[in-house]
Amino acid sequence: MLNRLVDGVGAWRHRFGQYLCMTPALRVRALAWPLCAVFLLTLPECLYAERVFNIASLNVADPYIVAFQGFKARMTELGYRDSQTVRYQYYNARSDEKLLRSFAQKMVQEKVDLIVTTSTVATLASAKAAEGSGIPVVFLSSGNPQALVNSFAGSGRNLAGISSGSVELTGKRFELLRTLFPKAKRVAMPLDPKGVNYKPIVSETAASAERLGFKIWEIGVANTEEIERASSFITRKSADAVFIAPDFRVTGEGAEFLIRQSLKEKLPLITSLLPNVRQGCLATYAADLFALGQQGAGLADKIFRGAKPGDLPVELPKKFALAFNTATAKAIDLKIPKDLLLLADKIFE
Amino acid sequence: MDSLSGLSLTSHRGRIRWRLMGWGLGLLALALVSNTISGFIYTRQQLIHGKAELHTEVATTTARSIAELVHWNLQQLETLSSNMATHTLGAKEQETLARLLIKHNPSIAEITLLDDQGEQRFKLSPMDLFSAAQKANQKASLAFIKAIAGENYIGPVLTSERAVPYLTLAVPLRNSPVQVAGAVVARVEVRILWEMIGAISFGRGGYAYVVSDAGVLIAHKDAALVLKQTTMRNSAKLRRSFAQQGADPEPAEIGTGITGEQVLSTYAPLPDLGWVVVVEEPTVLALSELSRLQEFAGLLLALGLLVGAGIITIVSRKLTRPLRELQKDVGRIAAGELSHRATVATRDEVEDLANDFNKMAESLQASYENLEAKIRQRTQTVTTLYELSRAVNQSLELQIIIESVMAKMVEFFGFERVQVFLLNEQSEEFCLQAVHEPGNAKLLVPKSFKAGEGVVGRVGQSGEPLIFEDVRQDPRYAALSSSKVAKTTGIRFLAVFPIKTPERTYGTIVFDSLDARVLREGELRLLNAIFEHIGVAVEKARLFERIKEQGHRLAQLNEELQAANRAKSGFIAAVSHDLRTPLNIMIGNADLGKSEFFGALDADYKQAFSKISHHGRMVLKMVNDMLTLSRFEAKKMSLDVAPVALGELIEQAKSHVEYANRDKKLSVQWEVDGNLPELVTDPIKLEEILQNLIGNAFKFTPAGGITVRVRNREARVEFSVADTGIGIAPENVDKIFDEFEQVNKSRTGNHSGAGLGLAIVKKYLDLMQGDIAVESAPGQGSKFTFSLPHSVDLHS
Repeated sequence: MLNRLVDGVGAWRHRFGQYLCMTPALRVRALAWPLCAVFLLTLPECLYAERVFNIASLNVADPYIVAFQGFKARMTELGYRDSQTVRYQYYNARSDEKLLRSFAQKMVQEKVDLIVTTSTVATLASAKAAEGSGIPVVFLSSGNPQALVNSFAGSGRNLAGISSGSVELTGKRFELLRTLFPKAKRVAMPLDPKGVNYKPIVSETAASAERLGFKIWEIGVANTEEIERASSFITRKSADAVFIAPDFRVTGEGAEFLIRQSLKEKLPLITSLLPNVRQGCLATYAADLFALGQQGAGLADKIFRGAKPGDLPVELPKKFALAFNTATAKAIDLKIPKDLLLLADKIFE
Repeated sequence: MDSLSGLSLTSHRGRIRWRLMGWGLGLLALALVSNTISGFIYTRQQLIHGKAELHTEVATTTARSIAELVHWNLQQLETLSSNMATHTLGAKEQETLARLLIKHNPSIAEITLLDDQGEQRFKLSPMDLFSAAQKANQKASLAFIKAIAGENYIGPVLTSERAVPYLTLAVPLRNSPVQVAGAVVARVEVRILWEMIGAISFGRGGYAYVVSDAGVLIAHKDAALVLKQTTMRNSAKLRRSFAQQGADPEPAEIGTGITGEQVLSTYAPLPDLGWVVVVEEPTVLALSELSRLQEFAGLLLALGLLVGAGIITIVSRKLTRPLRELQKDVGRIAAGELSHRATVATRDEVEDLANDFNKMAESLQASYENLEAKIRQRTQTVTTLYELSRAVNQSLELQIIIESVMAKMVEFFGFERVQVFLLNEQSEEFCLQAVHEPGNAKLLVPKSFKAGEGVVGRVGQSGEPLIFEDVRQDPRYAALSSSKVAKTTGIRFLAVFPIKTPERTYGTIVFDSLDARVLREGELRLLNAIFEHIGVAVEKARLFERIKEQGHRLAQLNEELQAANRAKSGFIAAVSHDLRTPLNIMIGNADLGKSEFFGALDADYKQAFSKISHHGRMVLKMVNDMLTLSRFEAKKMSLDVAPVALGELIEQAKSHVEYANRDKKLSVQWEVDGNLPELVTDPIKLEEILQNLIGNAFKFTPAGGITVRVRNREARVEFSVADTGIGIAPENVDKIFDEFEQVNKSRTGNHSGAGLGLAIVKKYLDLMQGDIAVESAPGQGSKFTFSLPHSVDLHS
């Protein structure tokens, strides 16, 4: 046994001696196979290392955070662990369009893996910034998807998402107003004439108002200050009701002023955004932003698994919610009919 | 031995091992590959069978779920309809019930209540607001017709403008079990069907989709395909499924899938809806286990071969190690180490082989030693013969040859004394010619033997050798010996050989020794060969002595002859000199007489003077020629070298020709190169040569012409004289330059001379380092060409 060991050591010493006598080229060749073996043995570690996705969320106002929360919650359910397999960045431009564009450019510069937006205006800014970068954009809620895509069957570019149907639901909201206030005629509607949803909103409201016998009082506002100022003009003398159209300036930072004024003037305030009801609006019929966020997570997952965003059809909300704020109703001395309450999905007190 | 050492005993090293490796690994690989292939086929069948079960399960489960989904919606509508039936048609309560259903069932996108006339009582939607103006009669719609007839209706799947798939369901609104008051029609979105289909994932990359009876894709995980209205009408499998409306008889069949790739596909029909659920799994992924199996089998194969190679290596090493040792031993033997023996102890065939090799080596060693001894002996013989031949051929002097031979014989054979007796032909006795005794003891022996007397005389007479290995023991010696010298000198060994050629015996050679000895056969053969050489050498020496004697005699005679020749030349010179003076006087007076110097003469006198002058000149020329020749023979001829202007010399020759051709009977042409150099030679002799050749040309050309050419050739000048004369026969061409030779005298007629001209020309040219050649044919003329160097070399 000892002799064999000594022989073995001698053989290896001989081989090492031979190796030392080799030319550099032969030495490299002699080491090539062991190195390949080591590389192959370590390769699985490299291959199996999990990828971390960087997702940036661009928002235009606080109320939209609900959608992003829904998105994150569903992503977790789908197996994307926060800080482990996915990292989130949240940007809120707070109705500042310039800031919105700068955030969008920043996200693209940082080469995030996905941009998630929660409004048509934020989506437009992101899509423009991400153009040519290959970064997909998923919009969780767009009241006016026609401004983003040519067909619901697919955007044909790095864009996919969910239509909140908010503009299209204008008729249903006016129907709700008519049910709550059968005598209401004049409806005040603050709106940014330069907003991306302006034209479809005007068109849809005009058609619905005509059908249900309302007279729309359109108040042009360009920023939050103007909304604050304009809200003071909305009184029981000037209007029978107030309608917050799906315009981010009004549903976002400006909603607060309108809610305050409607409560002061005891005017029914119908909004386009579900979180506004929690804030104090009387009622709405709209998509659930949290559910939209969850739905959007499904799209993100498909994209991460290799689906082309342009091939994904623009989805519609799976469910719309009829929401009432009973405290507001009480504040403005309004009694919500029982059959409506029966149909309500959310009631804030 | 060199040829043995040159054997390439290691050229096939490792062959056995490689053969074992080749065959072993080949068979192992064959077994492993066969096993792998059969395993692969079996596994593939099992895999496809398993896939078929899985596919069937997935397809039927999916089909059942879809059917349940549609029927659940239909059931909800039926419940709504039942609830509505308790209220008046178009009542607010009915609307509220419909709204509640919409609220709780998000897939319902629209509910319409129709009366028995198809008039719309209300239409509700979660998104759209309908006005009274939008109300329309749907009496003609298939949904209404079916529902009013009391049947449930399930419409085809369509896609809305918002890219949402939907189907229309309709149920009758019954006032009573037999009376239908209207119909509840609902537009149900089947996006959930997409989600359900999209969520189906099984096996490796397996997916499902739903196709309508029109072959249009209804649901697929890739919504884009549905929205593109992808049709599957061309799928044979689908056509078969619609035709059979039963379970798939060939589940997991390999074919082309919806995306064009190879898939395993199975279908499950939805008979109520007329749809088919198809599940597909890409073949590449579905049978990926087979690929892994292949890889694994390959790995096993490689591993098996590696292990097999290791085992074979070990076994072959065990087998070939003694063979290699044996090979090394054989190599050492082959390299010349004949005393080496193989030491293999394996107790098997290899050991037997080693023993055989050892025996062979022993035989080889013995043979080699024997061969070496023979070679040594032969070498000694050859060396001895060579040395003796050299000694014999070194000289022609008999005494020297004999002494050399004796010294070599003593040296080679170790005899103590050698004596040579040569035959004296006059006395017919064999007289002692030489004795060689290296030792100090000078033995007294007889100086001569008569032929037939004693041992020496007997051998000399008979020509046969006599060998006495021990004279004391050999009775022949006592009988033959006349001197009995052995008794007085103590000689024991005596051998007497004749010195002879095949023709005669010249003498004998006697070897003796104080010790008895035996001459081996090889020594005897060598001695015989030596004595043949010696016999020839003695004959040659004798001949040489005779030739030497004759040479002396010939030299003596030659000297006498030369003296006589010199006397003859002196005589000719003296006679010639003495003849020239009277001849010149005779020719001069004849010329004077012919030119009427002594007075007018008639024609006969003139002719007589002419003949005297002509023949006198001929005789004078002959005398001059003889004088010239005698000067040559007396070796008194020398060159008078001077620069020669060839132009002048040729002009003189031309005047000579003009004179010779004064009667213009021949045409004469001169062809002389313009760049002739100045020659350094004997001008008189050159002029004489030219005149001689030109004179001969005139002499032997009765009619025609003569051409004289002078050309410059490298370091020589070439002269040629050609005529159209009588020519020379080929057999005479070589003789014309001999003295007193004039060929074909019958033809030369009155031009006959002494035949010394060309002989003198030849001797002149030899002296002047020139050469001459002749081309001639009888009747066609002759051409004499001679050349001279630009400058004669006086030192040669």
